[in-house]
This record gives sequence, structure tokens and C-alpha cells, in this order.
Amino acid sequence: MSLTAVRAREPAALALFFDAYFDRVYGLAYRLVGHRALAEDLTQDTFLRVQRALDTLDPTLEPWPWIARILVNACRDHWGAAATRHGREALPFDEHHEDLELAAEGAGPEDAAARRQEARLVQQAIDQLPPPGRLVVLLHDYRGLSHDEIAEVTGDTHAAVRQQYRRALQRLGKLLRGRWN
Amino acid sequence: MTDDERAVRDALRRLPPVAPDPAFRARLRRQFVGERRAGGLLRPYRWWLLAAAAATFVFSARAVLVPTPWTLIGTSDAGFVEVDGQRLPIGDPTRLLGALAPGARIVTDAQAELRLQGGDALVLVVTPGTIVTLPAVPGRWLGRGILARLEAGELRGVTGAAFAGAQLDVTLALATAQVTGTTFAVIQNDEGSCVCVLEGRVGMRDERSDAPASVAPGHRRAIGPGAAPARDEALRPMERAKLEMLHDQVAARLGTALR
Repeated sequence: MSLTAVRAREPAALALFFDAYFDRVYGLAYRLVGHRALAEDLTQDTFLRVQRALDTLDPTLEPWPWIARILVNACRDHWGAAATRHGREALPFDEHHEDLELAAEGAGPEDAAARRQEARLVQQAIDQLPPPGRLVVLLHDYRGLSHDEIAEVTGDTHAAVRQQYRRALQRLGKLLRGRWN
Repeated sequence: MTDDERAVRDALRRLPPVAPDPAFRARLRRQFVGERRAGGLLRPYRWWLLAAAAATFVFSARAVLVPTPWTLIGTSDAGFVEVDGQRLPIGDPTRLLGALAPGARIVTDAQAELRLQGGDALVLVVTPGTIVTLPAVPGRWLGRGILARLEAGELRGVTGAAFAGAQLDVTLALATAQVTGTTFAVIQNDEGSCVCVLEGRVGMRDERSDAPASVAPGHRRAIGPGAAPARDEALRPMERAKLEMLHDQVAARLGTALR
């Protein structure tokens, strides 16, 4: 895929670009807000913003941090608007998420059920984190960005990212202690 | 790192992919790849639509007396539209075009979206889940004041150069929006009546008090049920994004001199 062609908005290149990054954007959006309809809105908003900002895409760099930054900004706008209107939007801890997970390849039925249950518990705990911690822990452990890359995406310092990550892990650990079994 | 934290970290790394709705993915892909001629939710461009649209631009003395018809420039892929009580599939543009006359009461279901163009003057988008009475296309010299009624849902619009001097009044439950040249959306739902403006200004008359107001570009004004005062706010990000997309998509259709 030629990022120069993507910048030039050639349809074939845009299609490849979309196919390469849609799942990452949607998956991260869903993990961040824990709700399918909101994830769709955020994903759509992100790709709209990406389309409008293609002139700023650096064809020499991997685009994922750039896309992630756009998604993060879209999420922040959503959280800010939600806080103004309704307070923090988070599902109750015991709310069951829709069974959206894709089963791991090759997993038997028991393993798949255990994985789904684990994923559900983890997502419920993620929903309880404040947005900054949620962002950092998902970008780091779910999407594999380094602390430096996360700092670039979020606009925070490296030290702040490390601290947010540590606090988020601590809180998740407490929320999930005793619930794994 | 404690054992609990390590267990959480490992569980985060094991989180499986999330399955999106295939229809949503396909729709967004088409939107992103940017079918510039058809745009966003629109069907692939068809030559007969071009012929129909081109016909509306032909100058004729008859245009003074014969009103310009609406042109259907795009639809969603699925859904049904009820026009004056007649249920029509979105995939039958011939019947839709025949039914979409000024004054028609349009009801779109949860999937159906219509994109209509009135000459050089106006593009309207009837979004899913909307009940609206279709206005006339403003005439070139006569019939410059046109009226629509939004009973529920959301109607978006972009005016073009030929709209100059015309006015579209959209009646809502709690307000009337007066559009003279802008990119806008009007919304009617359980929260009340709302006017969103991307560019230009829209007048908004509060039907409870008959008090006039003006909604500035980049803002929304919402009137809720009861006696609470109207709320003026900045456009919500999603509202702005959708109006910007509509504006970009129709700029070429309505000419460069967008109002």
C-alpha cells in the first residue's frame, strides 16, 4: 500500500488503507467506550477526520500512531460532551456486554467460553477506569504501543503515561481480584 | 508489578478482536473510499440520475410557471420509505421519484435515507427514522418562500447560490427554523426541537413565546419541553462531522458559491 497514493486519495489505496486499519480502530473504540453504537459513532468520526486530514499524513511513517491520535481526540470529545450532559457514561460493573468477541482460532468450546468470560470481566473492569487510564492501558497492552508512542498519541509526557499506566493496572488488579474464577 | 497486575496485563493482551456489524463496516468503507460522484451513503453513480439531474438545469420559459421538481441524487442501500401512506422500497428510485412531490409526507424507516436536490438551490437529506413534509423547490422568480414540517427525526440541508433571496421555514414541535442560506440540521425528538448550524445563520422562533433568535455558525439551539429556557451550545462533534461531510459532498453539485 502506497501512503503517497493514500494521501492523493486514490480510491484503490484508500480501500487498502481502510481494510488495514478499520479493525484496529473499531476494536480500540469498542474497548474504550464498551458500547457498540458508541464505538460505531467514534469509528465513523475517526475515519471522517482521517479523510479530512489526509494531507497531513506523513508517507514515510507508520500511520497507526497518527490514526490512534485522531481516535483519541474523538474519544476525548465524546467524553467531554458526555460529562457535560450526563456525567460519566459507563456501564454498570455487572452489566453484560454483548457477545461480540471473536473466538480464538483453534480454541475448543471450553477454552473459547473461558476466554469470552475473561474478556467480559476485563471489559467491565476497563469501563470503571477514568478515561486517561483507560486510554493508556488499552493503547499499551491491547494495541501494543510503547510508552513513548502513547505519549505522542495522547500529548502527555512519558512520565505521565507511565504513571497513568501503573495506576490503571493497579486499579484493574483490585477490581478483578477474586473474580477470575 | 504485583501478581494481580501481571495477570491483568496478560489478560489485556489476550483480549480478542471485536466483531463489527458487517453492514456498518461496508457502509463506512464506501464512505471513506470516497465515491466522490455518489458520496457517503449514496448508491453508485448511474447515468440516468445524471440525465435526470441535468434536465433540471435546462433553462426554459416553462421554468417560470412550472416548479422545479426534486431530484433523487442518492439513497441508502436498504430500507423502506412511506410517501403519503404508500410504502416504497428504497431500491425503487423510479417509484420514489414519482411520489416525491412538494407537500408529500415522507416517513423513513431505521435504515432508509434520501438525498434530494432542488435545482441549484438546495440539497436536503432525510435521515433514517424521520417524518417530514417535503417543501417545494424555491422558484427562480416566484415561490421563493417554501415550507417544510419536521414531525420527528433529523433533516439536514445545504443551500446553494440559487437559494439567495429565498427562505425555507421548517416547522418543528416547539420552534420554527428560518433558513436563508446555510449548512444546517433540524432535529425533533424526545429532547425537544433543535437547530444546528455549520455555516451561515438560521433564525429560530420559539413557538412557546414567539421569541425570535438567531443560531450562529458552529452552534446549536435546543428548546426542550416545559418552561425551561432554550439552550445555546457549540455543535456536538458528531453533528459537526456529519454537516461538514455533507457540505463537502454537495459543494460541487451546488456550485462554488455556497452560502
